[in-house]
Formats: sequence, C-alpha cells, structure tokens
Amino acid sequence: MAVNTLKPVPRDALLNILQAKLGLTRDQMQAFRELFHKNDVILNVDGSIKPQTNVSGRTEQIQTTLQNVDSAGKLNSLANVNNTNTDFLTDGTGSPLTGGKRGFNALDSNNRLANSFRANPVNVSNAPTSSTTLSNDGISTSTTISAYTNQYPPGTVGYNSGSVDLGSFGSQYIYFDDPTFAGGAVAYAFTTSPQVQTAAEGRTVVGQITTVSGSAKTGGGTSGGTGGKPGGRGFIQG
Amino acid sequence: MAHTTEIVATQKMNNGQIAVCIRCCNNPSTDHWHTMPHDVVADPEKRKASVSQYHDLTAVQHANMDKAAADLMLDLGTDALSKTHDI
Repeated sequence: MAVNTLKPVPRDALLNILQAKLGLTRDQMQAFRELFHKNDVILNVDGSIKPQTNVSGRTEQIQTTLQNVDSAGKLNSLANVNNTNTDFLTDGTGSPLTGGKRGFNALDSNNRLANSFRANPVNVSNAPTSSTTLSNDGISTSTTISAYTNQYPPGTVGYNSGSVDLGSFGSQYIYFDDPTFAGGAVAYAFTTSPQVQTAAEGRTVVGQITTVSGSAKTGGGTSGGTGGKPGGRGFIQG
Repeated sequence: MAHTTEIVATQKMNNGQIAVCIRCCNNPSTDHWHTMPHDVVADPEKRKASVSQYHDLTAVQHANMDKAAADLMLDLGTDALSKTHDI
C-alpha cells in the first residue's frame, strides 16, 4: 500500500493535445505523464513538498518523519529520542556525565560514600591486626616493617614486608602511600616530622619507633611495642 | 632449595628518599621495598650494607612461605576426604 495517498490530476486531455500538436512518441508521452504525476503527488505550486509524500524506503509520510523537528532543524524535545544511552553524548563543560558516573559509583542512595574504600586513606580509620609491625635490632640503623594486615571499615588489606634506613639511630615515623587501597608491596617512607604523616591524601601511618644503638626495639602495630607508638588511625591503643 | 634475590625496581620518592624493590626467585609476591635516604644511597659501602641484610630477609621470608605452603598441603593430605555430620 502506497504511503503517499495523493492522486495525480487527470491530464489525459492535455496529453492528447500535446501528442497531436508535437507528434510525441509513446516514450515521450510516458515521460510527460511521469513528470505530471510526480509534481501532483509531491510538490505544491510554491515548490514546497507536500506533507503526504514520503522519503524513499520509509513507510511513513514525511509530515510524520519531521513532526519532532523544529524550524531550526533541531529535535524539539529529548522525549523524542529513541536511544537515551548517554554513552552517545559528548560530555559538556564541567564534565557532568563523567562526574555523574563517578557519583553513581562512589555514593549510596543516601548520598554518602558507598564504603570507606571510596574515601582517601589519610581520612579512613584503620587498625593493624598485629600488636607490633616495626622492629630494629639495635645494630643496624634500618627498621624492618613486617608483612601485616590493616583493618579498614569495609575489610582488610594486606601489605608486604619492607624496610627503611634512617641512616642513624633515633625517632622516626613510618608511613606509605596507597591511594587506592591496593595493598601488596609498597615503598615505605620515614620522616622525623609528625606533620608529614598527614601530608598526602593516600597516606597510611604504620607507626613510630625510636631506635637505640645496642638495644633492640619494636614499634607500630596496635601496642606501639617496646620503643614506639602504634600505627593506624582512629582506634584506642591496644 | 636455593633462593635467588635481585633488585627489580627502584623508585625516587617525592620526599627525596630512594627505594629499591628486592624480589626472590622472580616471584612478585615476595617483593620487599627497602627505602634509604639519599646520603646512604650516595655512599656505596653504606648502600651495600643497608641493602644486603634485606636480600637475606627476602630470601628467608620466601623460604618460610614455601615451607608453610608445603606443610599445609601435608596436613590437608592426612585429613579425611569427607566427613559425615549428624545434625
């Protein structure tokens, strides 16, 4: 069934006159018939396209095809979009799409962080599961961090052993940076300045130890050992 | 069983300290980072002395890991394959 329901104007009388006057062949007459037919069902006198016509291959009239397009050629409403997948959109100023996706992943239905692993480690309470994590033998200036596990609110994260060499005996705070709570092997760092413990968003404090030549010491963990202070954050020393 | 340790990575940290990663038997799970201040790193004798003990520690830890795993497998082998629970 034709989409365009318009009928051509009967022009047999005119065509017969043309054939008689001009001596047109059958093919030439057919060409005129097709020309008149196309004009009648597609075009208005002013040259505009009739709304009942259709784009070749489409099953709806062109007035339906364009009903949701305004005079500037723009879609008149986002309600008239079939595929609302925002993956097809280019992100705008301020990256609202990217930001929205991050918010969806990081926040819960109460607009709070879904879990503390979505926060920065420097702000997350954590407690070592060992009573001590730091040790020094009183002979070497190096402090050993034994492999240990940290208890965070959403779960535990294990860290490999490591070591730091202050270069001399004395007090040192030992920490590491693990912004994504990845765990495993981390490069431990040391400082004699307390403020460095909170100088980076991804920072976790292992503990403090004061090493003494000739005397073995321990530190860190939940107890602080024999010569130091505990690590972690936001819990009562054990 | 012989264990071989090697330094597989170095890192200059943003506080100026230098860290080296010691690995045993090419097994990344054994990675042990040792951090030194730049003045220890700059002195070959101090650097060698500082790092050497942790080559040993890393190898010992790996040996202990292997032994623990082997002991666990032995324990599992002696357990009954199934057990009936009268509940």
